Amino acid sequence: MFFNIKNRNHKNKDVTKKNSMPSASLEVYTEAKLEGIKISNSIIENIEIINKIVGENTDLVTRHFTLGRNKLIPAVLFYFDNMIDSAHIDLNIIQPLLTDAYTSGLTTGPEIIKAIELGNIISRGQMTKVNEMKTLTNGLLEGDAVLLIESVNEAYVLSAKGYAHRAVTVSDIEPVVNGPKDAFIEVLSVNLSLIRRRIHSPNLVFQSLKVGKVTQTTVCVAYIKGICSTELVTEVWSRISKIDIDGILGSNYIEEFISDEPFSVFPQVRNTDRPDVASAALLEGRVVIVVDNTPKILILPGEFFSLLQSAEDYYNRYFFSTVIRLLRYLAVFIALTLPAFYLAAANFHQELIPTDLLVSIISARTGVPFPNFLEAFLMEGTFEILREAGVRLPRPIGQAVSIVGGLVIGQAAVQASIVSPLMVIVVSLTAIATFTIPQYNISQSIRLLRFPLMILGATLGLYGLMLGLLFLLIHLASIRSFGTPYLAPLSPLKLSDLKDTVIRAPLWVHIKRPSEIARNKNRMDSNKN
Amino acid sequence: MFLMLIIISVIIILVEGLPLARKKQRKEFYTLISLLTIALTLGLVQQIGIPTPIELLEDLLYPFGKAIFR
Amino acid sequence: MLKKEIISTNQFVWMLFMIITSITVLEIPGLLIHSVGRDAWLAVMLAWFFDVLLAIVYAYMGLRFPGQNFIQYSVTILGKPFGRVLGLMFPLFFLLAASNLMKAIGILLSTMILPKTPMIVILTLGYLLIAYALKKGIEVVARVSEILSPIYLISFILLFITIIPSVKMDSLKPQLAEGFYPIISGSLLIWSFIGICIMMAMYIPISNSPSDGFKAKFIAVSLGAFVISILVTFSIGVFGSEQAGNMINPGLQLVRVVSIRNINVRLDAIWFIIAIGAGILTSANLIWASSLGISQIVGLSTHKAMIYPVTLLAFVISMTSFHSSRELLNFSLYVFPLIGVFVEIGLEMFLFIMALFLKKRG
Repeated sequence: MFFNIKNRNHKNKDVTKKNSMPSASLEVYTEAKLEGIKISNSIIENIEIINKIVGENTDLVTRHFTLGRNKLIPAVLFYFDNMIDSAHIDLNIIQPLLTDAYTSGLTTGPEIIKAIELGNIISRGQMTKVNEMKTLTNGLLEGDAVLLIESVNEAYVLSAKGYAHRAVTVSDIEPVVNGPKDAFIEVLSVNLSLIRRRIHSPNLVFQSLKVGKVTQTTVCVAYIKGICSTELVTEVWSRISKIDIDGILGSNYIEEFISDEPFSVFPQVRNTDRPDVASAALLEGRVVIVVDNTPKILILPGEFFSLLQSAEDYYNRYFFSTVIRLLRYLAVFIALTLPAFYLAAANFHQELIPTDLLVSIISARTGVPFPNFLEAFLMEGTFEILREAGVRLPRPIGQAVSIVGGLVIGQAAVQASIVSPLMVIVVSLTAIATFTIPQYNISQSIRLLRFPLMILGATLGLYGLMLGLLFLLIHLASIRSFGTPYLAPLSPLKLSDLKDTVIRAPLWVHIKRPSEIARNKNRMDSNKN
Repeated sequence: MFLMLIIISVIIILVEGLPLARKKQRKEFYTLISLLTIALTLGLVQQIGIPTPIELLEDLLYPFGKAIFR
Repeated sequence: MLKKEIISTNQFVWMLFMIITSITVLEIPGLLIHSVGRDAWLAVMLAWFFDVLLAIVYAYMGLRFPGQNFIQYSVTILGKPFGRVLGLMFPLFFLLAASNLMKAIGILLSTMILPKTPMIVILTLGYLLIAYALKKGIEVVARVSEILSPIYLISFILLFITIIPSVKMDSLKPQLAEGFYPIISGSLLIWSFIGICIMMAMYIPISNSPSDGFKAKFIAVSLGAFVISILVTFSIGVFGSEQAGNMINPGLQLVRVVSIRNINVRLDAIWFIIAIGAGILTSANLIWASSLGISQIVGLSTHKAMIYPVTLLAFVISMTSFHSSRELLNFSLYVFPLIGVFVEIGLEMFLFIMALFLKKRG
């Protein structure tokens, strides 16, 4: 309807004609420098300051106009192109100011200003008055439109955010068969709405802060008042606010900064891209951190067993879920120890292998030139390379890798007697076991830990394996995630919590929330007395 | 083995002893040093061939034990 | 100062069970059968009875001197110089027990599964793990015990269930053929090993409910005595007392007998390795008690700095003593029980009587 005149900085325009480097002002504006610059009465002065700060950008739109049919008052609207929804700008800001104001009988500029002041004319939902240049710039950079009027020493920051983003789609990291399928996307507000839509409670709180000196990324801390312990929220908040970094580009930036044991192989934060998992965590009294521009959110505290849970566990019938859970723990154990155990058994404890099998192993290994230790490392190494290649490659080519990999790792290597068939079985079983782990971050740790255990198993047999596992157990028992012991509820033992850890008891049995985490432990009313 | 003991002792002094000395925890520091000295002495004693305290204890108590537990 | 470490009653029980069971199972069932013969289980029962009686004294003393372990209350009762000398016996005893146990583990490992690995490697790795665990604190050790001990117990129960078909009860007859003396001396022997659970006096001050000390000890000792007596009984039942008495570790031999029908696979290594793991944790507990005791006697503000030196000391003792399994057996059979009885029973009873006599309270 209206044609926006993109009135860019004149100086720049002149230079761009010559097609040489535009002379941007070399001044660098830091938070501290912007601090204290007040918005002045003179619109010319204000425009000058804004142009000095962000004026050299091609995507800054400056729209000049005047208010009033008589007693004209100049005004100007700033916004960044494509950070805003142009329909909002046109219909709710510019149209009311330029035409609708007059239909309501206002004629002079001061009258219109007064009406704006009262909140009458502009029909955009969010409108804040600011008098500092710093807040103005922040708003502008976040995708708000800024309205400046001559002789008013305040600016109107009008929310008109609207930028291109992915639609809410199916979760591709944690797919489920039953249960909701929507997943978080890169936009914070959409993500928050996905949670809010599930928990209609006045006690659900989203509080946000800005992290990253340059990027100024919004980080949102979510929790449910009365269920979540206040100390946890305070602790999370204080750790996040202590982060000193120039930019936050993903939620794991935050994760690395706030983990209790930064030198541990194990992740101490659960992350998910599923709003239902986030909501379940909130209901357990956990804190959820949503970071702008990331579909992955963080759940704190993330203790070991919560990392081994899948959303699907709660959407299937509990008999099945229990079996699957037990199977998953077995799979974790296999993924961690099977190659090491095989090496230990083959090198030191042949009696552990049934005699018939042992005979066939030995006969299969005839012609394999490498000691089985090297063989195992070769196979595991190849497999990890193939997996990494499969992940990095564009999806259509990824298929090719799996075919080639399957051939190389399986048939050809065996036929060329570089590896024995049993080793192929061991490696593939291990790999498949790794795939059953629902959380990607903990499956990475387990993949990594397999190798030292293999070395121990190959050099010291079961003694080495036991030392390694005991070491891991000690390590796991010693770390905490935001005050919750990492191995809770297994150790320290909380029998009542085991019904949602070892097994998945029916939902009507979960009368209480996990005792290490939640403040309000009663999940059901029947427990009140 | 004795060389290894010396290396470990030095490492322990570096890791545990120095912070104690820096914090002026004299008593802690001296206890640490004397424990390490005892350990080294035991290692040395065995190296030279002098009976260790455990062996002495064994020689002392063995006849009684033999009499009681047959 | 670090946050005070606290263990729960559950952890208390499991830790004690682990200590009792691994120190006895890894070292003495063969010796016991050797010296008592077919009546070994009676000796265990007798020892259990005495030990429970002793536990009452320990529990009482723990309550009489709240927040103090026996090292601290020996100073309270006897005054500084004498109390310190007497109190020093406990940490030294724990140190001896730990290094003895580690050496036993080392010898078992090198004879059973790792014949080519030098002893120094086995022991160094074991002690490194102990040092790491203790540096993390007793709370962590307690949590690990809480996970490992039930597995340990389950492994015993599975072993017993699978071994039942091979047990010939006839081998246990006749009972009491040798008279009562072997039973008494045997019970003294096993009591000195079960008596290692005087560790309870170290745990009571850090337990979250000290009054449960006796209960915890009772459960742990009963479980331990149950396991040991079944183990010796079954060993005799399977091998006969002569043969079992000459074995280094009848438990391990017992597992070797178990073979799952038709598959022909022997699972002894797995059981054995669980026992070894429990043994290493037990040593960790003992070394913790030792370093805590030493630093309390000297009057240090923290025992954490003493962990590495004490672990090193235990390592040196393990390395320099008991060069062969024969020497180790001699030590465990003829020397250790005397020291054990002196420290576990003699010293504690002395402290008890002195406390009553001098009317000292904590």
